[in-house]
Amino acid sequence: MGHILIKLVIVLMLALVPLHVYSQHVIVHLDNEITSLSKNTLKAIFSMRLRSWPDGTPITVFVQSSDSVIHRKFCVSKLGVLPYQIQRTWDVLVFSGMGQSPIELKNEMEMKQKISQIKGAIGYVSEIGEAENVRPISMH
Amino acid sequence: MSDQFRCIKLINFFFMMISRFLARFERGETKRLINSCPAYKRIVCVSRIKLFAITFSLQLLMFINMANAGWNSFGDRQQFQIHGFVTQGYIKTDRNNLFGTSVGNGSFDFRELGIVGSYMPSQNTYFAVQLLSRKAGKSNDGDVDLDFAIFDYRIVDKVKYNLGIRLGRIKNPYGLFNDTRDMAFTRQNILLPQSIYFERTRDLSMSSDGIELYSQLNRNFGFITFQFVVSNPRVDGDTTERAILGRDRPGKFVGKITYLGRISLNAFDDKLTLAYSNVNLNLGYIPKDSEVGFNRNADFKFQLHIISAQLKQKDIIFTAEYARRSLKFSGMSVDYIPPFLESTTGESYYLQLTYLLNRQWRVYTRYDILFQDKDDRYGSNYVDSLAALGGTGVAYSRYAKDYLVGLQWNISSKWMVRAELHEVEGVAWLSLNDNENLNETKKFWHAGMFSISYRF
Repeated sequence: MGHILIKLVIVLMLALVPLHVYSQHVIVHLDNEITSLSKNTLKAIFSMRLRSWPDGTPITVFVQSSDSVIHRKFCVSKLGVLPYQIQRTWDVLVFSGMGQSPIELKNEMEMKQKISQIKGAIGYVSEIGEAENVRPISMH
Repeated sequence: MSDQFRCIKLINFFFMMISRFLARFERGETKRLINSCPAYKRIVCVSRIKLFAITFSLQLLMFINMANAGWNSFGDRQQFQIHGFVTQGYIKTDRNNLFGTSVGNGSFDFRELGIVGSYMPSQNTYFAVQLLSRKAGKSNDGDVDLDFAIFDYRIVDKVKYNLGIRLGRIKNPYGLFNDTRDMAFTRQNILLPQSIYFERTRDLSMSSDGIELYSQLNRNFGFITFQFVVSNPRVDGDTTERAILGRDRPGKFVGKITYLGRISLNAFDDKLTLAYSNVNLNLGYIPKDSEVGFNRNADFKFQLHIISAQLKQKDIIFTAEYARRSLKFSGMSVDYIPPFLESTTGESYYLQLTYLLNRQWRVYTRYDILFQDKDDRYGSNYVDSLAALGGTGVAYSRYAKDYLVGLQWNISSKWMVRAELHEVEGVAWLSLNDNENLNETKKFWHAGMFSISYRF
């Protein structure tokens, strides 16, 4: 009986770990024609190798502070790398004259606001909430 | 709007810092030296004007952009970017000099400062300019230098592959680190593996003026990058002569058409990087009338092959590179290049292990080795052959082994501190500017280094 109780407690505790707090949603401007992205394409976008959407609209990449939890979670779960790795990718690009780095924003509100203003914009948030002109994009 | 003002403020800050730095440089003994020679005076004056012109035009560009409707509220897109970095080092050695007079009290004569402005008016055009100031003992005086100025046109931009060309002053793509060798955050150490990224021929190594063709293939396992450059190398008069001919000579080197290429694979979410680079550098030597024994077409050919590999596991990074260099002289006077040095092949490699203790701290160790001549690794033939010609040389100037342990602290994503201890045998990569006569250097020596870096 005691064993079952302990197991139950453990299962309950695991269930209560707030995983959802740091879920990451990739968001784009409402007018973006793309409905879903492959992981590979997402990586090409966030490592700044791809500059335009299939319809020719320039891609504008937004990220949150490199020291933020959401950025870390996004890098690990969506891009499969640690923040220091993606940071180095951007540094090499910028300081060898091969490209620009993403634009760092202060918080989620600014992220939603910027993305709602720019047609080719892409970024990520932990919660979509009620944002205008912004929609989440699914991964396949 | 505040972001734009921040950019302008940053430019001003950099301008101020560089100006102050130059002002300090011009004080006292140096000032007397500058004033005594009109040529020096002109150089200082010109570099100041250049610096001012560049900063001013950057600011003008920003203001034009701000006035531009497309840039209101930070624009439809942010097209203009400014980034930069600063590293200040402290070096103390026990015997030979490294970056200034490092024996004794140590030297603060190691400083790296860079600022890059880039502009992307459309998705397939891109401009970027980087200014660099490097102070490293007597080798680099901290003058502002145009590191690259690039116009990039992306011909094809698809998920599966891209293709583009770059024109202008281009970073030389070789090895894992050459493209950003002065930016501390992209390196793994204070001092890059000197066996491969040595500083003696810095201007030739850094960037060159020409054209580059690039392409990237994107696959599910990772991506493959191809780069091919045809260019004219940057020759810096006496430093180049000292590095190649042992000292400043009356004649001069001129750049000839040079080829560089690199193919690299980055796979499995950045866990594996493999690269092969090839450099074919060509220089001609134009002797003065006073120099005898030269062929009219005296030249120098340098060929470099590098194989690079990097493995990243959860908290371990393993890096290794192997390089083979062949140096060929033809038509040179035997007084400069004795026959036994006309054609040599050197060999270098290093292994580095970095351990990430946590997000902020890492420790690393490296073993780095350089042989100037793979058929005479420890220089015994060199000494004998020189002696036969009546010259003297030291065997340990033909190789160097550098063992290092280091510690890195990432204070934040913007600040970083590093400390390193080196134990070195041999002086093959030691600066000839800080140690005028290699024969007077010591075979075994140690160096302690400390650096602090900031980026934005």
